[in-house]
Amino acid sequence: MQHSAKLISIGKLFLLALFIGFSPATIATETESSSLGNVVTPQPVMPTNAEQCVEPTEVMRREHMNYLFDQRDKTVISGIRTKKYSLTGCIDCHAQPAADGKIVRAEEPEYFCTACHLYAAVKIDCFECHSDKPSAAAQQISQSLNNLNLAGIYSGRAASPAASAIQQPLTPQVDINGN
Amino acid sequence: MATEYDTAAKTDSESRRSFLKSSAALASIFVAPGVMLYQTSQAKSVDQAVDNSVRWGMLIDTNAMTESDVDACVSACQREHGWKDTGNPETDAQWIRKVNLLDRETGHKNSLPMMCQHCEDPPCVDVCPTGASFKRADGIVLVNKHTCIGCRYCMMACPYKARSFIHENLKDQLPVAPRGKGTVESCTLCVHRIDRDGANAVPACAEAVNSAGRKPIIFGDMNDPNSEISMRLAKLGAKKLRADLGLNPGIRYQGL
Repeated sequence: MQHSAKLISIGKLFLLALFIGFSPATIATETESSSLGNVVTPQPVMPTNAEQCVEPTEVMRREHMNYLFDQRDKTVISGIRTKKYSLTGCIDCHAQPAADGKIVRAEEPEYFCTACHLYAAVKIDCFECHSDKPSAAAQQISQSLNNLNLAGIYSGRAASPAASAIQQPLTPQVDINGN
Repeated sequence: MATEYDTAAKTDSESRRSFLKSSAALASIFVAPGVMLYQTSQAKSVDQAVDNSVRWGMLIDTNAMTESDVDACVSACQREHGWKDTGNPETDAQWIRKVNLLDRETGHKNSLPMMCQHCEDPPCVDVCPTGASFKRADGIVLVNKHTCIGCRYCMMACPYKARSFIHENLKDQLPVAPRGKGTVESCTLCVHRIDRDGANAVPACAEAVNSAGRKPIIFGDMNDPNSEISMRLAKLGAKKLRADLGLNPGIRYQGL
């Protein structure tokens, strides 16, 4: 009997420890620490002007880079300019301006590509050369640049206040959590 | 029964074959000239790879061009591809430039646009260590910037000084002309227009100076004897720049 009483008291202690462990105060601390850990899944903004991408979403998630690599070689070397897997096609759909008309740039976390690439720690250099804006918007901006004749922008120096107005701010206005 | 059936089937297929053969022969006699015309006047479809049945070239009549025409060519190219002068001539991009010539003996002045000559045997392709500098099957010499490592060997090799290197980060490039720091670039003969319009394409520089009554720059297929450029070349001839090098450029000049 003595033996079993000892067991019971150990069990009680264990329960008590569990109780303390899950007290509201401890839970609060745990939640805090997990949000500090920044484990937030990306929420890329989906285009509203089409219902379906060129392949099912699951395929695109895994294979988009292969489609793009294949297409770029076909285009540059053989002059095949089909729209289906072309980067311009991707951008025309996926880089639509935000609801308030703001053009989101590739460096910003809310940009469609950047949202996931930041999460997956993938650094792409597509947009060091390629335009990150839909063709129409890109054309417009380049025209306004030509009209203003702002040579400064090109060498990275803003020539006038108008120039910096055209260059979108690089600091994100919305963080990755959408706050 | 089986043998009878076989023989019947054989005769049937033989007669069909001979019919097809003869109709194909007829078609080749009567349709071929039409097909040829059709092929040369139509753009290739977008999913079709380029091939060496065409060789794109450009004929520039320097006597028909004034200095301001050449300036118009340069600025048209800048607008089309999004490059510009930033006041640093040593490092600025230069897809096309103006060259003024003066014959001291006669006082004859020439002004001509100078750009990639789209050689048949391009030295820039010979020297490229990565294969980034390449000649497309239809004769256009390009840089595949995905494989270019920016060594600038091609710039050294080019006798026309047609290529330039991008030294600084760029923003707001145009979708038709991806350009970026660390790669070499040059005239593409407006390849995006050619892929879209085929033989009817007009490069931006030609578009800037050609008008209804005047055509100092002719773009076309030099492999097609009936194209405007070939007929003009056959009738009036033209100069290849640095013909002594035997590179057979696709850009030809008249009036030099």
